[in-house]
Amino acid sequence: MKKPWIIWLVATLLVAAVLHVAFMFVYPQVLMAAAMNRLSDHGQRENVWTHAPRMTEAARLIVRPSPDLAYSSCVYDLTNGPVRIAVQPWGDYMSLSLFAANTDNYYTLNDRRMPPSGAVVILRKAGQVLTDAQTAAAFEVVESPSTRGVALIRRLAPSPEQFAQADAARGLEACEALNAE
Amino acid sequence: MLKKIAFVLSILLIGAPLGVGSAMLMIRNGAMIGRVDNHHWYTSRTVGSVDADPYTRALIARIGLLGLNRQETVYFSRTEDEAGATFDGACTYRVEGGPLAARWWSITLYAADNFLAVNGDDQPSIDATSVQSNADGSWTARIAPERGDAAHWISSRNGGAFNLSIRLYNPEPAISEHLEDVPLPTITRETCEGAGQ
Repeated sequence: MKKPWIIWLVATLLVAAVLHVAFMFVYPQVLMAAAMNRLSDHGQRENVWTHAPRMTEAARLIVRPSPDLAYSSCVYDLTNGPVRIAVQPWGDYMSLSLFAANTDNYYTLNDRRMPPSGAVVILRKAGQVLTDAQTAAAFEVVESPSTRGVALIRRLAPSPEQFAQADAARGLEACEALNAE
Repeated sequence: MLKKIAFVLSILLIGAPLGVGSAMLMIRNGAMIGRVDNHHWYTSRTVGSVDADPYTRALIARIGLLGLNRQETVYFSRTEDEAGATFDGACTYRVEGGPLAARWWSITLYAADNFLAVNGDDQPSIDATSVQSNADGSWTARIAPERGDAAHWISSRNGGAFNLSIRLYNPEPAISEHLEDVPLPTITRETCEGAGQ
């Protein structure tokens, strides 16, 4: 072997480069999986909305929460078929946003774009088939890049009084398996 | 044979920590391709977006999980005052701002752990609905451990080396397309009694 130290150096740098890139790709997935685990109460609450209390200094589930927003989250799982999400606008800013398992915010629907009567968004994986009636009933059919992910509703509620109003407006949403018996 | 094993083992033992360690260091130090600086505030063009590069995605996973893309919301952060000194929760700062071209905005203080500072004050932010502007649209606020006579106050008590986020919801194109030029609030240190510096 000629100049083994050059081979050693190149191989070491190659190993370092591959692991560096791999770590960068895996890191968001791991943090997102941990967040989904926390938000779904360790997988116990999937395909169902969870309405978070007002964000105070005690909130420790997700980094950098806004104390001015009322959050509702639904950890979705498309393993057994599409998921139906129904949302209702209310008196102020609100949005439904969808996040893939790699953290990407791949879809957002806010109250400006939402029909006044609310919207149904069908979430599916590539290849999952919907009936014509299901498609017709949906405001939009969205393809999730990952099997699991997070749906999040934000409602503007900067004061305790506004939070109470936002809280009262919650509860009409749906996040459920589309083909549930 | 033994020499060959040692050769391969040494490659792995040095290459692996080098690769993972450098990645962790970049995430920890906020490496962000596509970072946009606006005076002492900074943001990324690709936060939350499917166009985000792996470095931005990794950083956002650490400090801004479930953040929205910039068509919906623009987030700026900062860790230092106008003089470039790191924020200190024991100091008093004057915040001066003007109209912001967004449907709604807020400024929130986070402790170094990226959660709201634990101080019992329930004053972690100011927002467009709570701040009274002057006739010309300008406004001022105070970041300090005590409210004093401030009309608009963000409590920095127990904030340590805190940082700030400004959220601009439903920003007008003037903001989302000109991130480096948006006029953002200035934050000037006034006093620093009891501070560690």
